[in-house]
Amino acid sequence: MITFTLNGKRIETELDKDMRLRDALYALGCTSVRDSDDHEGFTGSDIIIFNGKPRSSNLTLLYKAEGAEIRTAESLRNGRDINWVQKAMIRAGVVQSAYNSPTVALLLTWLLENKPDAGREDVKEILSSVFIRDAGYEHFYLAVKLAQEMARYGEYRSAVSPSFRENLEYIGKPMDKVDGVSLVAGEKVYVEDKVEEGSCVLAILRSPYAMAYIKSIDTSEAEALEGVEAVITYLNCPDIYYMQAGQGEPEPSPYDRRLFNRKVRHVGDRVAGIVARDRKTADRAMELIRVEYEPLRPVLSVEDAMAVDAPLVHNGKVEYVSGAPDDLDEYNRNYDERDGKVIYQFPLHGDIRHNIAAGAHGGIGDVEKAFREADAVVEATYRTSQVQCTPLEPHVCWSKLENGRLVLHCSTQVPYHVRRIVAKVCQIPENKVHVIKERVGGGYGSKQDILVEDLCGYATWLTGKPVYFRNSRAEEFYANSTRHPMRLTVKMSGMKDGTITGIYMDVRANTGPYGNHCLTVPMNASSKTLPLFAVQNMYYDLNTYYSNIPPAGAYQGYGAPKGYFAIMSCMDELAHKLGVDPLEMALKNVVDEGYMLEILKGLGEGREGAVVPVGSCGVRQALLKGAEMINWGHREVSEDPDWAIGKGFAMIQQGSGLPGLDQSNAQCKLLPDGSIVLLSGGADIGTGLDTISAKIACELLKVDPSRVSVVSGDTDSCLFDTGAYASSGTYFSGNASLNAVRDLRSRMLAEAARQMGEDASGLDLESPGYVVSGKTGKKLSYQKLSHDALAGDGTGAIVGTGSFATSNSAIPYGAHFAQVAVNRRTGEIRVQKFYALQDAGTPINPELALCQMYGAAMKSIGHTLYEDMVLDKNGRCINANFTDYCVPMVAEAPEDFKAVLIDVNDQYGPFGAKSISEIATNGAAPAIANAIYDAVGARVRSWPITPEKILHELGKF
Amino acid sequence: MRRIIVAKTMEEAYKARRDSAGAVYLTGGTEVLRLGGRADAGSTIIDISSFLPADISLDRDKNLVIGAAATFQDVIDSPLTPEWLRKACRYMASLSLRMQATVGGNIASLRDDSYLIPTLLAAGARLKTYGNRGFMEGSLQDYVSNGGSRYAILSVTVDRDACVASRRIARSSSTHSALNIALGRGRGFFAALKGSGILQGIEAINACEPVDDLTGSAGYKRYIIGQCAGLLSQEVEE
Repeated sequence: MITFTLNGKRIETELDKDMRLRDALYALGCTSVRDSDDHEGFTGSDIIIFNGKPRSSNLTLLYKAEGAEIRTAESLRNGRDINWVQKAMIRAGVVQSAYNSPTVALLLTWLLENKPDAGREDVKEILSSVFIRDAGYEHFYLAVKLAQEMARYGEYRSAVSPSFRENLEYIGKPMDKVDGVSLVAGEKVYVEDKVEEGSCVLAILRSPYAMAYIKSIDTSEAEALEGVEAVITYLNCPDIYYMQAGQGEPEPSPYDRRLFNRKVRHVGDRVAGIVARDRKTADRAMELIRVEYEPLRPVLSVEDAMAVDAPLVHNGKVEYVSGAPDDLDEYNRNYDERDGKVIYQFPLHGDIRHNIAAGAHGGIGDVEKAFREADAVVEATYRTSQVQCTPLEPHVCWSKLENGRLVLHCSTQVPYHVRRIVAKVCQIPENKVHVIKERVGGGYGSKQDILVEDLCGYATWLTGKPVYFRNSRAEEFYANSTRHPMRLTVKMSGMKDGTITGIYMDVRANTGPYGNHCLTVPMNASSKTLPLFAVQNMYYDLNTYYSNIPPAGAYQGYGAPKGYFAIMSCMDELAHKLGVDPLEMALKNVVDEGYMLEILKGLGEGREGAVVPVGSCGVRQALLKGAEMINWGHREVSEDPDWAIGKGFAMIQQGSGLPGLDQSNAQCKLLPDGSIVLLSGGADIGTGLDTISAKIACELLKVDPSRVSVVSGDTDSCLFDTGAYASSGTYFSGNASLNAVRDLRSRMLAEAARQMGEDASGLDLESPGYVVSGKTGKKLSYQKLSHDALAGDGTGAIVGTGSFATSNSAIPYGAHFAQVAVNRRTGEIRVQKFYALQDAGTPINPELALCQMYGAAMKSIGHTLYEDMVLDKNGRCINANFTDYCVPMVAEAPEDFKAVLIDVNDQYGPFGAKSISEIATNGAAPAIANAIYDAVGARVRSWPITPEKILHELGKF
Repeated sequence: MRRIIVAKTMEEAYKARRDSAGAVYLTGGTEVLRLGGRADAGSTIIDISSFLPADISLDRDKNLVIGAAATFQDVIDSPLTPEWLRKACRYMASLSLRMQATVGGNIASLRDDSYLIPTLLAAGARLKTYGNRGFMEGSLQDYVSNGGSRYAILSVTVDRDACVASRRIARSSSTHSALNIALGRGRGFFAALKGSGILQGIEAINACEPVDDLTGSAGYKRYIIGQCAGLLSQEVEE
């Protein structure tokens, strides 16, 4: 028996005294105490206040709690009311995916209780304990300031963000996020919190080899073990080919895998899935499985894959759903049955007999002529490493059977793709699958892929048991989506006046063992970069190679951060060669509104792209304002002669969803009391999409936010949406919500006209929830309107439905500027200033938008300077934990960090809005690389730019 | 399941450790209990925190005496602590870990990326320990040279007036260091070099063949040792 005080109450527990205190507290109902790192002591999601001081509960055993006073974030809440620090965090916009927000709230509360006048350095000290991937660190300082103002003055006095569109009440104004309270309070909102006692666990036996055939596998002893429900292998899994990328169907990715395959293709690939009553039994069963492998020489790089004698990662039968080439039979003459199949939905220029998963080639003008006639030409090759999304909440799924249907509780960006793929794997119709997207504790692209739901769902369908699966942190590294490593060669030509005359991009991407996003990610390296240049001659060659590295897939920004690293670095090199100011070169060659984007014709994700003109575009403003902020052109001099200071920038763009491919739907219902429920197909992954939908309803229906609730990401309740990826949320899901609300509005007016005996054209909506006649001045409350419509003689429920699909683009633009200090002797790098300026159209949630910019820029600074998955010669990831992998913490945040929203109103986005966060991953690498060159003359052309690489470039060793 | 022994005296703890192969002492927990630490399921843990001193004080000669159970943050917060030692404690970037990790634990782990050992060596630190010959006093230098692990550390004593400069070279604040090097005036250089261990004296450092690892190549490490040595010499001279 262990006795202690938990949040002011005496606790007596019989739990094992050697268990980790984190697990004990969670079992005792403190769901705010999370585990993000498998007790590595890195992320701080598990911190509690223990006898008055912060302490890692994961690094403490339960026995140690005897007699202790313990506080968790649950102590911050009084009934439904959260404390002043939590409120300030929501107001500042830092509560996003929020997996460790309750912990941060606890820590900041502890700080302010002990030091009410805490300053920036005090806050920085507190933040040193926690890894924050979503919102960056910057607005936490603001949150503390707001909390101090509330304590001191009873009101907030600092602005959290600029406001936009004076004529609108909610749009463009800061407003507390609709799910903010539940997230910051630590409510049971994540998948792990939903798991019922008695659920089975799923454990996965993974391949120790980067590539091997399974010669034999014997699961008999494991299956005979008491408590084992099933063991699934390639021998007994469904013979269904699919792929795990959550993309619109038909997907531009090959179906090149089954649940289990006879050929394993990366260290960590699935060999067997064990469904057992508990983890201990599953682990024991895993030990009892006998596997004999035939190891094969692995392919670990693009160069390996391209080699003449390269082993083939996929050498199975190739099939096409449409567009099969005439020589397919010949192509398949010598396929190896053990390799399974690769099924293309349509041609992607793949050639698996040369390890090519997909390709694309095209351009405009005549680049060779441009190169011949130019005053200067530069050609350089840039390399980007494999980096991990590292969401604080790992991939997780809980599935169960209910009323003969498969119900999956998921942490996903794509509920409807999960439904489709799980149904396909289980060979059941989609009506038999119900996907519930819970709150998502960080996605960043990796949860666009269906990496765990396929097997977890099938395990339940097979056994009839509720099944829980959660990746370990190590599995997150070697069995999860990562950023594709790439080799990009850029050749760029220009004239002495700074005109760029030709650009050629050769993109070679490494997709790893399976082809998730094998076309779209590399294509973004060109399709999101070349259209930024008003250049007449441009050409691209894209090839994506299979290999045996850990899987690649979607990561915020797709291929654009890599494309920008290459193209903006190359532009900087060309400018220097021509003796032109890089900023002048950018301004001279950047597109303006109305410029016809001919280059897009070939960049349509496997289909012909639409040639459209540049729409609203704030890039020029961003460049000019950023240059002014950083005092571009002025050489800063350090007092310490060892340190040199330099400046760099990048102009950037992204997209807002996939016009011509994506579709979103929503419904908006008027409830009997006149309040509103909006059902959005969109998946809010912490970014505030539900808040956007709520604001749209409030704005158009003239009601207070307390009268609107948003339900989203539930495939039974809500209508189809392609999902939260490719920066589609605001533009697609937001526009669907807008159309649904508009539809509801017109139906309300029509019903009111009937009830009031007036013409609908003379009616309007008025705050706080009335239909008012312009002619008679009569008012009808929403409550009466709805009640009478639902009465025995009424006309029925008033429901609006909205859909959004488009061929129009709403492209966000921007420019990021960096000032760095580099130590000439040690190669150390300090990012002194980082200014992210972006045109997001009308930022509907401006405070959340700023935090997403900070968060994305920090991720980008991470891959630029620190992060790198390292594999040994056998393909094993040797730094599969946070400490070794090296993510940026608050100490790595720029000393002067600013996010600025450029005010541009878009013609297609909802209320003029465009996307915000993905684009912010594009700027840091080239801006910092160019600044380092400016500082010390070292041109490092590969991520991460480490002190060692700088010193090497400087010829120091 | 782990076996937990909460010892009440050093003698009891030592006996328990002697009688249990593979048993580990536990104070703060940040080293032993962390992922990959030695306290996995089935291990024996001997909690020595109840009697281990945690106070920070001055002895008769005005030397700083740090109880082994004092946390990094205790050391930082003590008004008695010289700035060069605060700097070394701050090499552990996370405040919550600093509030939990103990000075004794960091020394006892003898890590090749140790936060404290190079600085303490450069300050001529002495240890009070308990081992097979009972309570003993000796230099940290000997403790490190002897591989340390047979002794429990009770306290660390350093000359507050020592002149020590140090540098930690790591890709980021919270990752392992490639090099943590310190120079003490009159005592020379001491380093924790990733992959190579704790190196005492410039001869040992120069004779060391660094290895390629996640923190950097051998060539980089060799270069950075030279640069840091130069910078530290300059700092100590000033």
